[in-house]
Amino acid sequence: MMQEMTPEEIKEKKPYLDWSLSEEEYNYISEKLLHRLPNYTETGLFSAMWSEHCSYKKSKPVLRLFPTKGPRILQGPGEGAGVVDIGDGQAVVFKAESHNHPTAVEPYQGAATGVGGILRDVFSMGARPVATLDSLHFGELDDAHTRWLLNETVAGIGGYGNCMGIPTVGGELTFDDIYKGNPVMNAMSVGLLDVKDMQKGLAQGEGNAVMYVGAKTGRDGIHGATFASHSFDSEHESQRSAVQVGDPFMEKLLLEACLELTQKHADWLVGIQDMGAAGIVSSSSEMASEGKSGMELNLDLVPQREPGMSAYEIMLSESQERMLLCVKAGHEEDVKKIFDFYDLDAVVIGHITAGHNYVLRHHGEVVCDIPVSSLTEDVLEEPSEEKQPQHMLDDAAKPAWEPEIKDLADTYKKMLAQPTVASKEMFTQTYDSMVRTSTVVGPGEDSGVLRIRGTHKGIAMTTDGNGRFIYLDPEIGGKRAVVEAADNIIASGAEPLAITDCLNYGNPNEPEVFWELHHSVMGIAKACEVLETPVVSGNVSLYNETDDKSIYPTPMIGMVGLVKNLDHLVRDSFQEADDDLYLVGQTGADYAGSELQKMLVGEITGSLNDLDLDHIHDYQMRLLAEMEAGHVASAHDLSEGGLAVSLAESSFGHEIGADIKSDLTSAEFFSETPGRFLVSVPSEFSAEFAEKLGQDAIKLGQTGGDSLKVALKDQAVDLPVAELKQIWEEALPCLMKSKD
Amino acid sequence: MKFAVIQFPGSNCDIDLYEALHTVCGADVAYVPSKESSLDGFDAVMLPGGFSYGDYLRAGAIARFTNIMPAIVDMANAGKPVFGTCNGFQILTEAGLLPGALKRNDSLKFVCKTVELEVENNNTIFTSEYQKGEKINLPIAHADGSFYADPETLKQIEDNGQVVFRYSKENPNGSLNNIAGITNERGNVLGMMPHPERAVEALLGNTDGLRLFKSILDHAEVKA
Repeated sequence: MMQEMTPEEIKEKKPYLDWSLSEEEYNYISEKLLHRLPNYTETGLFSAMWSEHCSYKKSKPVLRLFPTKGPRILQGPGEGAGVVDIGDGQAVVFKAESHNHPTAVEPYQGAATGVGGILRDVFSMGARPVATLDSLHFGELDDAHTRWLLNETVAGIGGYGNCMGIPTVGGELTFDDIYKGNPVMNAMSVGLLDVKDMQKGLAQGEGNAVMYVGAKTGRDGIHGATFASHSFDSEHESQRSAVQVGDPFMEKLLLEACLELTQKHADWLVGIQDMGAAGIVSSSSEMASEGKSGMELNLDLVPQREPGMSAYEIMLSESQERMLLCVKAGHEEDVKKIFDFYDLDAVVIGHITAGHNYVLRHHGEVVCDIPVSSLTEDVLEEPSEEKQPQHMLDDAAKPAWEPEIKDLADTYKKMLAQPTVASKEMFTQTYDSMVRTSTVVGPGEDSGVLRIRGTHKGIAMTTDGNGRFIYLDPEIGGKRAVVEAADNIIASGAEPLAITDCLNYGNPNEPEVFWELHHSVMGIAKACEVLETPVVSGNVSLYNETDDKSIYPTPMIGMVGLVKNLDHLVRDSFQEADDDLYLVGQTGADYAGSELQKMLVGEITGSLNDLDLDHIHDYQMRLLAEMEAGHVASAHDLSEGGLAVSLAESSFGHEIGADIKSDLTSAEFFSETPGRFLVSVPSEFSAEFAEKLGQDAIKLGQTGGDSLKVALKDQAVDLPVAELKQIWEEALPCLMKSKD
Repeated sequence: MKFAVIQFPGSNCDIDLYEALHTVCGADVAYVPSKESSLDGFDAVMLPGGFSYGDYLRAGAIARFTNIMPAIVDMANAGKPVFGTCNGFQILTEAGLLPGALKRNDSLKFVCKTVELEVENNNTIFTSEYQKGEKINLPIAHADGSFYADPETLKQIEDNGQVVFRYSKENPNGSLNNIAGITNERGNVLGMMPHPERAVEALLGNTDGLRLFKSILDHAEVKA
């Protein structure tokens, strides 16, 4: 075994700099917190716990801007996952997590363990995970490496979720060169909970046991948290070892064992937490911190997969499928029996102690003795410089781009073949979207919808992020991201409840990147306030850059909504011929950052128009009321490709065409003004619908026929639905097959 | 008639079978963990889909060695209904209760979608409520569903009328003779890759699987 450096050698040789702990932080820990030099193990613990991934030291000042409270919110940020009351003694539990760095390196395992981690966060709250969603942003598909990354990532998400038996019911997949070296892989898990079974990550009560359950600890993923708080550069391939390997079978057993414990024997438990980033140290110290307790652990008792692991390695390992429990004294054997049935390890590795110190023993020696709070609460927040991105100032000085549509039919067909717009079925059909037989709406619609057994209610869920808009204007783009998510939820006939987020950004030490983070959070926060969807959980992923090139700022909004009566669930697709078609929401000249701009110009430029959130919220609620009254046959939100794409997609499901006449120009047909819906209304409800929506809905025409007859101000087309559908369906399979 | 839904470690469609029988059909049903060794008191046994033992080694290969398997073999030998869907089908072939084997899909990928099937044989306790030649739609969700048997076995299966369901539009996995589901020679053990239990409620968009469960229940009534 390698000899560990002495405290003095650490001070002199500064190995912590490689673990992302700064000299200033090291000195602060030595001089102000410990009043001595930390030893090797302690220095390792600090570097992990003080990483951005665990401490949010960079992003915390910004995250405080989020509204986190509301009448339905039972648990906001800070726990494994957010918890929202949905009535009848039940709650929906959800959180999203990014796994961008591991996915860039080893996409199958990176994505698989991303799913595994977020599932544990949800079942650590006592909830049964009922659905998974993803949010993927990749480079363009003309690159063979990107196609490999994407195939492996999708296989990893499916491989884990399918085996666990948790349906993947929605998500998003977009393409842009900016994500080539640093793809974005976010996963969201949604669970259901009887409120009485809710758990917390809490350890307290002197003499109570700290129990380790689940898989054994190996050397995998050591320093994953610090790894995720670093940028990539092509010179340092050796950093790329910190990726964990997932075992979904093990996690399925862990899930069932934990739920048996939390649902049937909650009285034995004080708290439970997933061992996620920074493994044992983060879960145990956070639980002790939450309980204002001291804790002592004997690392020799930790189930280990390989011999000779150092204290540092045991504490920082990110081996998957492990949980930490705080069990009331006297119930250790009872808990062990439950896990024995599932052939899982369940071992007492320590106890709650008087005082507030965090003590670790290894091979009979004390290898760590520090205040709990020094790991969790005393982290130095990092002041950040920020500066408005130069490209925004440059763009503002230029005239806005005005698209010119020469041939509407040709543009329409090309738009439907854009990878971001085209059908994602070739990927989503590799996910089991139906297991547990509660999926009412699976992948491919505005939101996934699950019924809640024993009720006639449903939960709707969506993930949305559009980095292009945030890049052009972080604050307005942030608002748009939340509005887009709410549009998706409302389009299903559900009431938006709350959001989770994954904030994927570049290097926050770049003043322009920090400005993007700050201002997009301002926009998200503002929209969440107006739309009454508080932030209940979230995750921050910084340093998404390769060779100094940052990704677009890409916050992912994961929103959950409540369908009060599944009889009034609304689908994307036209249901019948001869229904009246309405466009809800005003259409403006919103071309900056649009799919049309990317397709015709090849780059993203311009300034975004601000949006009137109060007005959007007002008509969203009137639209929802019409849906809940059963007056709406179909609704589809307008996003990439605007009305053109929504009209086509709505016609594909049942191959029902439409005949519309509008004063919109052919450019406006593709405009991406946020807060709009394409709605079909049976004629008997049409008059009332028009009255309730007033100025906010324009009648476009009617559904029917087998083609899309579109008469705009300047051009008209009549295109067979079957032809458009074929283009839309075949685009991605064709691109994925390309040889180079 | 009392149904047992077996829970192997890693089964994950157990709730789907249970709910289809219990909530939708109103049948008497209970979960039985594969660590148990007795099926006393049960009249039919249902093997759910999922990933028993993570599908490690080979789908179904480890599950066949669980404690409960001898009791399942006894049920099969006694002529009681034994049904396996997806991973359940894989386990039944591994256990030798059904001929053939399930290989990796031709695409090498997991596939979840609804496919059209033809009811090839309605003269079984599982399919009496269907018409012979009827086309139905059922979901599939598997990575290892390509049915294979050596030519001699395949001929026997075909000649004996053991093929109950055949993929009728597209073959989603490369199964020989488009086989989606087969029985044993006696006709009381059915294994199929598609999931009838996922197609029993209009709310979820499909009820084509419901009659499979009704058929088993009908059979119980006729017998009683």
